[in-house]
Amino acid sequence: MKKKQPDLLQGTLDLLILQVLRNGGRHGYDIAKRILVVSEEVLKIGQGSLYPALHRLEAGGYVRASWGRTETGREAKIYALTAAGRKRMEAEVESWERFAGAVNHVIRHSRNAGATGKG
Amino acid sequence: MRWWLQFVYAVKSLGRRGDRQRELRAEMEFHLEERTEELIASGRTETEARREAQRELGARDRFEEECREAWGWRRWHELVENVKLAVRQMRKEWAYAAIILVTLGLCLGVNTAVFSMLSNVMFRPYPYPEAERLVRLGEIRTKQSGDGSLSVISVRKAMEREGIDAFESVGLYRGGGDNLFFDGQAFRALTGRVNATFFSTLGVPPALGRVFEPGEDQEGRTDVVILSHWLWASAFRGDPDVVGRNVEIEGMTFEVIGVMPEGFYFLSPEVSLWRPHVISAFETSLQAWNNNRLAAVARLKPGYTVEQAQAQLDVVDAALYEERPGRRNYIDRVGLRMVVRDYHEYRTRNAKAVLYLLQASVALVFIIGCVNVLNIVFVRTTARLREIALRLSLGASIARIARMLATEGLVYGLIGGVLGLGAGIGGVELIKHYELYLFPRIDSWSVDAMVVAYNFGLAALAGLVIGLIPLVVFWQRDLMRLIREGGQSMSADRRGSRTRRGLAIGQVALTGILLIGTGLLIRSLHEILQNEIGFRTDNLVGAALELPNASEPREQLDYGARLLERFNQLPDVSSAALSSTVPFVGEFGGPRDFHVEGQHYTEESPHPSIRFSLTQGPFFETMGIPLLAGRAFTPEDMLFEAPPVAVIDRQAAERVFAGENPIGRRLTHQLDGPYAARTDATWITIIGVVGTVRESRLDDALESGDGRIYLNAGAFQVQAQHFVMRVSARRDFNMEAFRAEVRQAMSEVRATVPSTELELVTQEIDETLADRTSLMRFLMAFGGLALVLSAIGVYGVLSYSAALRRKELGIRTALGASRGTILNLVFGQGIRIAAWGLMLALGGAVFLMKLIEDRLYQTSTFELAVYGGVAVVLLAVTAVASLIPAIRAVRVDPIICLRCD
Repeated sequence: MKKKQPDLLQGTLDLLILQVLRNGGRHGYDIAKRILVVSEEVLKIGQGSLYPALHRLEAGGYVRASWGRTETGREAKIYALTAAGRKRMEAEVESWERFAGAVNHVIRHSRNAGATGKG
Repeated sequence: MRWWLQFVYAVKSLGRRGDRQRELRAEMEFHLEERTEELIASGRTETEARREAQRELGARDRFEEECREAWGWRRWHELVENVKLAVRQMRKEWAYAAIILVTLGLCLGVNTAVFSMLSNVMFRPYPYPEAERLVRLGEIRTKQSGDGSLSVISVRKAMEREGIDAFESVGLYRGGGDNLFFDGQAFRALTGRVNATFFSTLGVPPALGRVFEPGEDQEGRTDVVILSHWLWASAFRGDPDVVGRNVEIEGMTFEVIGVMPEGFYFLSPEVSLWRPHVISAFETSLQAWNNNRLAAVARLKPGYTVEQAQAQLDVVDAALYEERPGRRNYIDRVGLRMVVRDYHEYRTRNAKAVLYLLQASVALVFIIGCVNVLNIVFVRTTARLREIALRLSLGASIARIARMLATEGLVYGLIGGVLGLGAGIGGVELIKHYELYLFPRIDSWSVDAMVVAYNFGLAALAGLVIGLIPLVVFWQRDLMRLIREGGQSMSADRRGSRTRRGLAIGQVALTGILLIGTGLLIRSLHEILQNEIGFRTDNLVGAALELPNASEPREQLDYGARLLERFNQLPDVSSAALSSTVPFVGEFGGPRDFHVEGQHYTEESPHPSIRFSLTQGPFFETMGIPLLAGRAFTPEDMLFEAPPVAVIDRQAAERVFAGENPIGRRLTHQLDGPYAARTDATWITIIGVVGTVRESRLDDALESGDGRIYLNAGAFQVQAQHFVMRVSARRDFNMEAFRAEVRQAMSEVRATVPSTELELVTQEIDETLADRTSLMRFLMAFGGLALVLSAIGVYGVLSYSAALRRKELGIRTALGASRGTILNLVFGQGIRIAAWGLMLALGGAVFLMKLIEDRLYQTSTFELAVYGGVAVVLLAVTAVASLIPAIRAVRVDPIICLRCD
């Protein structure tokens, strides 16, 4: 079954990347895979947006990149959160939750209203 | 700060561009391989997996570009490209570029030079902590012209009174010069003589040792000295153990007790040592009333304002007025008042208005110059518009074009700024070289960071305007028509040339205003120099003479006589004399109330107050002051205990004797109460009347003086003197050699050589006018620059408009228009510009010249001669500037002209 790929706002993508890096450094491919797995295959991040986003975050000082070895012994560019990145992540998570909560609230409220209107 | 991080990151990235590229490629390769492996693991063949992974990665180029953009290069790359483009453009149109850059450089240069004066005088902080609590104290004569003399005597006495609590401490200062002897070396140094609380008032602790203690300004304890950082570092070679060592000053031994920190100064940065000053009995006497050599600086207690302090002094003034009825007459007449003023305000009182006036003038020059630049840019814009249109149609965004043009402008601005800074520094050196300043604090003048920032700020502003004008013009035009007409739309250019003519008119107007201001100042100086000075100034030299302290009157008189005798033996001296006051050299002996025998005094007509001088030797003869009636002093009058005689000047004679003959009348300064003479008073017989002389300024109103009475020194006790000599007029007269001769002569008469600063009286007179002459020279320079710039402006406008009208002029010639008609067409345009500009200038000047009214001397702000002169100059210069394009237009061959295009 092919699910429809939702549009990802740039800010949301940044949030997801930062969130995935929360528990330690990962390389780019790993990040994309991780997001895909955790979102139960809903959020498929194209390389075309992933790498520019990573480089932007690096330029902004939110992540730090270094070359390291993967479990398979390959050279890979590993991204890790910086202090500024952690701070930004927390701020964005909070604002996302507020935003999502508000959207959910509106959806639930209008459903209920619709139900009463019908009855 | 995030933008800053990004900037740093971008610069770093730029530095290791190759590494970054390689890393990006490696990262992509890694991604591909991981994905391929995963796909293989899920059952694809290797080829399939590889193809699939490649496909997923998609348009790799595009997002690699996006990554690079994230590194922050693209902007920089574009900037570099734009700068290259700008430089290429400049080289292509190098003549235009050169004119623009030279104009910018000159206009920025004068602005920067003047601003560096302004900022050094007005904005540079003083080397004293909490300098805003420092005030200047003094007693001024409010009813007399000028700033009034300051005396600190009353102020000092007032400080001891009850009810005065606004001041934390008071420092007294007197400048002087001393001969030092240290380590077998002799130095000449400018010194400050200060009271014990001087340094604590300024609040500056010493770098080494200590400052003066209370009591060290009392007789007998004054053998201590504090060095400036400069003197310590140079003459004392930075000796860290200098405190406690001895130095010989004027033959006496002093102990070094401290060294002040680097950068500390008071009044003059050249002062290199400070020693205690004992307030002498003479300085507190009424004779020293006009002695303004002492400066008083005080520190207000925290929380007190200048106004509160002034109010307290006013109360003391009123009390003193009540307590001393004998002085009321004098106080009323001259408006004597103790004043307290903010130190910074006091120091900059004369400079402030002048500096802002100069800054305003150079701002006008800058505007005039920028108009020329604008005109050139407008002309180029016509050509540029097509390029802009082309770039737009090829898909460049407006923002990108704006960035390109702004970069080009900023490159102009930057180069212009560098030229301007160079010109500014050159200007500063020029000003220093010609000593075109008499402002305080300017000695250690430098072009500092603020000045550099001002220079480049102004340059960047000019650059942006230059760069973005084509875009603004572009916005007003029709894109398609531009492309079609190749950027030469006639209708648009008609509007453009109207704008250009308007700008040229503005230039002429501003130049006219500058020139009128300059003209009025020149006229004022001329008026001042016409003033009768009352004596012969040529080849006259003078200096202060310090008499041996605490000696008998007879000894002092003998010393003076022997000195004069020795001076007269000098080959260059034709005549010499001593007097307590020598015009423009120095004054001792202020006004005194006199009682004239046979006159009656009441409250309404009190004792006349006359300034007096004690003279020795042929003073009037030496000075060239004309004898109007009676006789001058004879050598017999100069003998010790000779009968007291007086010569009064015409002003005093007219005031005191009101038309009666003063010769033979007697008067005395020994009074008994407000209206009577003492019964045992010594009466002084008036033997002659001489002309009145100007004594301190050429631009004083003569009527404000009291007149002067000259007394024979032999009959009185002399306390302070100046000497004056008429020297030979020979061509190779060398002042430096003469000074040495005089010093030698003085040391022969007395072993210790007192310090003297012998100077030509004409030099001293020039110095009193230096503020006026400096301002005038500045404005002459700026007015001249403005005149040249606006002539170039008119020339440019006419040339361009004649070039545009070539076809039209060609047709006219072909149809039989005479050369005269063509000449008139172009020439007349120039004259119309001048006429309009002139009208605006004359109109504006009537209002604007009010701003310099204070600087004028017997010159109306609407001086017809000046206005007329400026009109003639402006018209003549514009006529010449218009003639060249007019002649060129006449020479155009109609055939060639009609064929072109």
